[in-house]
Amino acid sequence: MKEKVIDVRGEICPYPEMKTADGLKEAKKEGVDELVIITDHPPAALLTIPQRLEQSGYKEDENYTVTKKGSDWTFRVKIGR
Amino acid sequence: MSDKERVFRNLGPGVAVFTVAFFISIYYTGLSSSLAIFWLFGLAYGIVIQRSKFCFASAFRDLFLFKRGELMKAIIAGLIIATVGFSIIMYATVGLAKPIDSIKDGIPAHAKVNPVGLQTIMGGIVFGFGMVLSGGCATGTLWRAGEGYSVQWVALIGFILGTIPLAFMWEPIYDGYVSHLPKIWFPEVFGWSGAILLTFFLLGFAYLLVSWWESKAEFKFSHVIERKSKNPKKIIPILKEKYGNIFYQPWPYLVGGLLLGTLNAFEYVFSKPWGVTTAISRWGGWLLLKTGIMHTSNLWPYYTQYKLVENPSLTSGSTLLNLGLIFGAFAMAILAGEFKVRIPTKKIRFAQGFVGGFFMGFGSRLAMGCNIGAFFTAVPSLALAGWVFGPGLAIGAWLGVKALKKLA
Repeated sequence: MKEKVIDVRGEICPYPEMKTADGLKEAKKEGVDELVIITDHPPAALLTIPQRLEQSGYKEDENYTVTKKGSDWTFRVKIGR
Repeated sequence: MSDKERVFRNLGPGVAVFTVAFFISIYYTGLSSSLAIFWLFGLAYGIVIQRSKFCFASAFRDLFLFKRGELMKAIIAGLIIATVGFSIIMYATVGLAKPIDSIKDGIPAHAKVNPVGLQTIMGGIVFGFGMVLSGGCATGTLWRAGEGYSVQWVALIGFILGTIPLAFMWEPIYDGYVSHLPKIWFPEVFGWSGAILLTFFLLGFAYLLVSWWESKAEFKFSHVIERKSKNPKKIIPILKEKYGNIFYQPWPYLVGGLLLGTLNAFEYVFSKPWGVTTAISRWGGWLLLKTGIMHTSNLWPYYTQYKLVENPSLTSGSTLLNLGLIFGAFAMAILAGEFKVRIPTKKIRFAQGFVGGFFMGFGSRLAMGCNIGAFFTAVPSLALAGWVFGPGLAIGAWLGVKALKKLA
């Protein structure tokens, strides 16, 4: 299983969202199975990243999960082909 | 067990921090009750902004970056409610004793009606560029500083320092140019009803413009992420879910905008409407005194003109308002489990923060206000200056987006 990690901890808006959007495109091209996004920026974790994912056709629990540990959020996205 | 289920885990530390905030307000009540009230207003702003993630920099930036206007529309909603409140207060201040539509003898004392000129638009552009570059406006910098963002600590230092060169060169700018400019207050030009209707019309037009602009986005956004309710039937799970909605989930932008507009009007009822950067330039003046660059016997004209060094910094209402905002955001971040000292891996972010902060400090003093004073308070004050500064912010944000993309 091929995994790609985007660790944007320490970055604030709009970078987490921009990197997520780029990451989704690249992951498809590179044949990645699971895209992992780690952020500690609440507006990105609670708003912009889930919006990006949902609007790109990924549904929570079905295609991606999000877990919070301390002040870090980890998204695991199953990339469809 | 995931964090999601243990919703009350930050309650202890959260309550502890809010207790500290309470004792600080008790302490200031002892000095003067108005200081304590400014502190409480600051806390309220901080709490609302932290919970609703109400970022003015995003509102302007995302129009250009993603053609997204959700947050801008929430600002417009906040401006509408503040316009209603402000109009009532200003009317009661100057209008009641006189026939309607015959206001000649001046503007209500604390309404934010700045002279309109090149400094308004230029200040807006410089400020707008700075806020996008550093990642937060005046309130955004304070709020994020409270949440533990190290870049915003640097941005705040840049902000304070940025006010100083403008203060240094202010006298000739003011005497030679700004003092000759008209303070255009809509009620004086169009009468009360005309002024209020014009402001509503402009806000409505701005709303339509944003909606039209959004419709051109390749990527459609919907702010409200569907919150899956498990429809609990028992009281404890219901309580947990509601608690989570308030203290973990972000509040809708619209709620944030309406609350901030309302708080601004209430603050005006209490004393004067919301402003942020006057206090920050006061901190700049304090720094100049402490470092011996400026002496009390020979104050720079800027600081005497705006009476910025009369009070020691910690006993001025506007300073307590800003400190309250930082503390309110800090306390809410603790309660929501969102506090963390964040240090970016890319060190260029510190430079962005400092330069952006410096631009904001300079731009806000040039235009005599920031995204709050010269915009969020100026528009409801029925002042033309707010409508010149706002587009300036947009132009600056557009330039800032160009820079941001290069620094990704």
